[in-house]
Amino acid sequence: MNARPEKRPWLRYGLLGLFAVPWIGIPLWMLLVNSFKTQGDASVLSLGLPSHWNLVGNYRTVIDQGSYFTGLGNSLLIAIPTILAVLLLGSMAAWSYARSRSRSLRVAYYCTTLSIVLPPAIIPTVYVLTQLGLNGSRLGYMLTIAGTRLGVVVFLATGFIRTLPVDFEEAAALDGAGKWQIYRRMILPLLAPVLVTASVMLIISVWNDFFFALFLLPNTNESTLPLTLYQFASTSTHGVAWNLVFAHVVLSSLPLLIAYVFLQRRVLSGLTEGGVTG
Amino acid sequence: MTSISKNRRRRGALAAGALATVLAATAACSNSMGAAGSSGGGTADSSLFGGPAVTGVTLTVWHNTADPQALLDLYKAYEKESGNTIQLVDIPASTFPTTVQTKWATGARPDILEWHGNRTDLLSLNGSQTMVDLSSMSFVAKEGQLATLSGSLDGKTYAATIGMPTVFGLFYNKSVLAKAGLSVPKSYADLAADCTVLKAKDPGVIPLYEAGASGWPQQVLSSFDYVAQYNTGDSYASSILSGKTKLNDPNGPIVKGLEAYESLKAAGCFNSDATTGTWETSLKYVLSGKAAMVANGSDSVPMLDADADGDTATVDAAVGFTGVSATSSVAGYAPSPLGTYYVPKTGNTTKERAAIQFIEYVTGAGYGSYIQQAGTIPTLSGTATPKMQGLMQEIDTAYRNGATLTWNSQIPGSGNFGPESGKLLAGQETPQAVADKIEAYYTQASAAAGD
Amino acid sequence: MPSLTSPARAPRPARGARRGGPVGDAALPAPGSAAPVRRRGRTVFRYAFALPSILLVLLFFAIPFIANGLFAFTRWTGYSSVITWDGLSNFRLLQQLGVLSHATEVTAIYAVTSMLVQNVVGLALALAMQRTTRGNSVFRSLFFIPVLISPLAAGYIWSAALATNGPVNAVISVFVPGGFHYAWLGHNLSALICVACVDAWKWTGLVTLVYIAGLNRIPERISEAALLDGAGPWRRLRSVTFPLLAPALTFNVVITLVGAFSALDVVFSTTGGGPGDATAVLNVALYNEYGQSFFGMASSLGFVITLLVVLTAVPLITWLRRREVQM
Repeated sequence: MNARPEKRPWLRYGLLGLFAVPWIGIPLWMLLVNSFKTQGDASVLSLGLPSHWNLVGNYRTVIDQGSYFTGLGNSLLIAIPTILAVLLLGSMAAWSYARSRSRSLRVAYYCTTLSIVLPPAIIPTVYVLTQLGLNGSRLGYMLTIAGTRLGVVVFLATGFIRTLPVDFEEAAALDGAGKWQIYRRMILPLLAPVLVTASVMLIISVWNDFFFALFLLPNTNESTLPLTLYQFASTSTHGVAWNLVFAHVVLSSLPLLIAYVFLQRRVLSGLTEGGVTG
Repeated sequence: MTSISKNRRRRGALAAGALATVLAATAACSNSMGAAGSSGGGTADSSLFGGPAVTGVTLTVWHNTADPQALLDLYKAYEKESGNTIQLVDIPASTFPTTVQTKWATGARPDILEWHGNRTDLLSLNGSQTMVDLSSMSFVAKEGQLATLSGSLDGKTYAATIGMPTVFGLFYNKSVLAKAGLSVPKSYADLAADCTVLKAKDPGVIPLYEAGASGWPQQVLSSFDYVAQYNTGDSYASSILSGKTKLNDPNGPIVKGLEAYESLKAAGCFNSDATTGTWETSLKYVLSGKAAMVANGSDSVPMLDADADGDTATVDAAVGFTGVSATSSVAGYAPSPLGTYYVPKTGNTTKERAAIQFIEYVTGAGYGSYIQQAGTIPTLSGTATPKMQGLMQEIDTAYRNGATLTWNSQIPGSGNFGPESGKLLAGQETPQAVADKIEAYYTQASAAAGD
Repeated sequence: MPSLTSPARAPRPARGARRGGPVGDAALPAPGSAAPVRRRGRTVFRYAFALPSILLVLLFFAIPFIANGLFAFTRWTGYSSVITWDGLSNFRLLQQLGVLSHATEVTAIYAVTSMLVQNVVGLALALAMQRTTRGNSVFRSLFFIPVLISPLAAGYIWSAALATNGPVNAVISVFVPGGFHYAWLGHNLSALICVACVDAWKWTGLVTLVYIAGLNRIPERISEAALLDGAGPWRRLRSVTFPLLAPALTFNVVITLVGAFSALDVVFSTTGGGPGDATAVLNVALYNEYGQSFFGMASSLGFVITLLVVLTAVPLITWLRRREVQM
């Protein structure tokens, strides 16, 4: 980094701060403060402090009637294994793609990376899942998410492995190390920074996914957090109660926000330095 | 090298072509998303009816989360009576039709399905192939005409309808009308006249509250109410189905109703935020007197009661109900999805028999206490009307005074009337254009259903 | 939601790698070894390592993607138990119903608006927070928060903020005599623009980071040279920074545009497609058809989204890359 001191940092910070107020400050403050109010107070949507605090009541209603813990449980149950599987299978495939000259593997690589830009075909996905007897199940949803998200991991990891010299792998192979051992002991640790970047992007997209969930998870007991939020906010008794909708929004956003508070430095440096654009 | 790669490329192309053909072939002969579960056979199997009671099985029921407590208690009572277990699968009320249709499309089947009685909704589930024909059961006679209108296709009855039909008309705030010296409107001309008076005498009051954001309430004022008087004995819908008239006939009741609606809008009779208003707000407003009138159905009564913190006397004192149609006071009605039960063909004879016995129970031994608890109008003859709150009695009166089936409940594709009428409210389409679209949707859906 | 990388751009190899020899060395037989046997063994293991990933992509991306191109031309509904070839009639009917061209137009306006807002705001923020200083890190973390919130949640937050009595109007009312009570989501055009902006708000944080990464990859010596040549700040920005930022720009423009073509969540939680059908983007129309058991018609609308993506992304990538400065 260049160390030449900036002439007027405070002017710049001032402008950034001025922009942050309407962009981040007001919407998030409105969200938080109104989630503490009574329904009548919240319907005014003012930014003032609650005249009557109804924090416990609101949040308890959301937890009781908004299936919050069902959603949280399902989201964890779905997101964690899916993301781990995508990271593992994607990096394994990336190693093959990076090191192989096989034409068919190259075709497979291009197909996989195309999945990043091309939109998913949701209706035929439902059809395929039906044929496999997996429709409406969490497993079918997880497999679909994995199949459509592998592209990011494969793309980033393949590009990265290609920059690594191949000599060490050769040497290890001559020393009698198995393929799995080479992958596990050499490739995977080297890939760590790329996989951090990839997992940040995966977590953001998988945890917040609503589109696939809307089509593929019709059973209320399998709903993920975005679905429980949607169902809660769409019912007539709650939909008009901003205090309750906001409380649900706060609770649904909390897991990622808490993780962000602790990991923000890694998240941001992972995205700015992990070579998203290459 | 080049020849090899060319060869490989061709092989790749061939493989892709083969895959496409296979997919097309499977697509052509098996629509598993439409027809799975039809293994039970095409015609009614008489062995499913009668015989000893099935006990000790678990029956899955897809039910609407808006089911009133009385229905939930009815399921409990059945469990106790039969020794079977009811496993409720919650279908969110907000996305009820979509969720059921899409689950159904994937081939999933419950043992008992709670679903709309409308012909169009039954068609969309391919009902004649996928449901058990219940025509031979004893409740059919007790339901009378309703059995030919709700859950019915080609003279066969596939559903038991125990939930009270939704009655469409107009809720009004009694004291607001009285203060302006107005009597209860009966026709659309009355609505227009009352609107003018209200605007002059009480400009703070919204004459008619419309709730565009909720997506469906505008159907009531823009069509259901207006057309009601033309559909006596289902004559209007029948003439559409037989091809005698078209939905988009420029002089037909649909277009005329939409035009009447548009002129009410043009006269400024609606709330200024009609496109973003909600059903919930409309009820709050008519209860408090912020709005004079709201066109909606009897399903709104529990919500009104909730707005008054359960004090039904307050609601009865403040709000009245009337049928209002083109030129006379006729209400409309449609079978409610709540308390309408089908027995889908699952291929499991034991469970199908148990499901039929469930239908027997809820229309027989369990029916009386259900009606008492629900406090609604019975749909089966031979059961006395229970004591109901005043507003429900007014609705009952409108229902018994020659209410007619809403036109859309027999017309396939009319599910699009909600969004299309919303475009009229939003000023995006003319009445004629809305009717043209509905005619096109009808053509599409009836072609799909092979009508 | 926008995916995050474009396949058009392979990561730039690190310096050492260039010396390490051409990519794919490993597949060549090592000199002096028993080449054919070893090669076969290697190939098998390569396939074995890639197989699970290939299967997943094939089953849940590639096959549905190809099948969509077929289903789009079939009559396939819940009303009947057979699927039949139906030619173009799905598209004809969708057009007759005013869905096809309207939803395509709405989607295009939505996507372009969202893309513009994301890139203008994102680039401005990136220029303002380019250096990794303590103060900038705080602002970077702050502006990234919306990315973590689900698009659905973002929709609920902003539909409240934009309500007639919401904070947006309250702020405007301070400057407008007599108050300001515009229904932002109640009018055709303003609703569409607002919803697209909410989508942009949700993703701008990510776009910003990509621009920051791009800016920091510009070699310091080039900017210094321009400075020594006496170029002013605006000129440095225009003739040094922007051309060298082109890879990040290409990436961001394509990804934000393509992502917005598949929008659904934000629309669902703000307007639900209304007023009328003013914000009914293609995916909303698709969901409506799907919900009425018209699966063939839903596939047709999905096919239109695919066409939009292919027809804009390919020329856009080609055009933008041609303008990139090779470094």
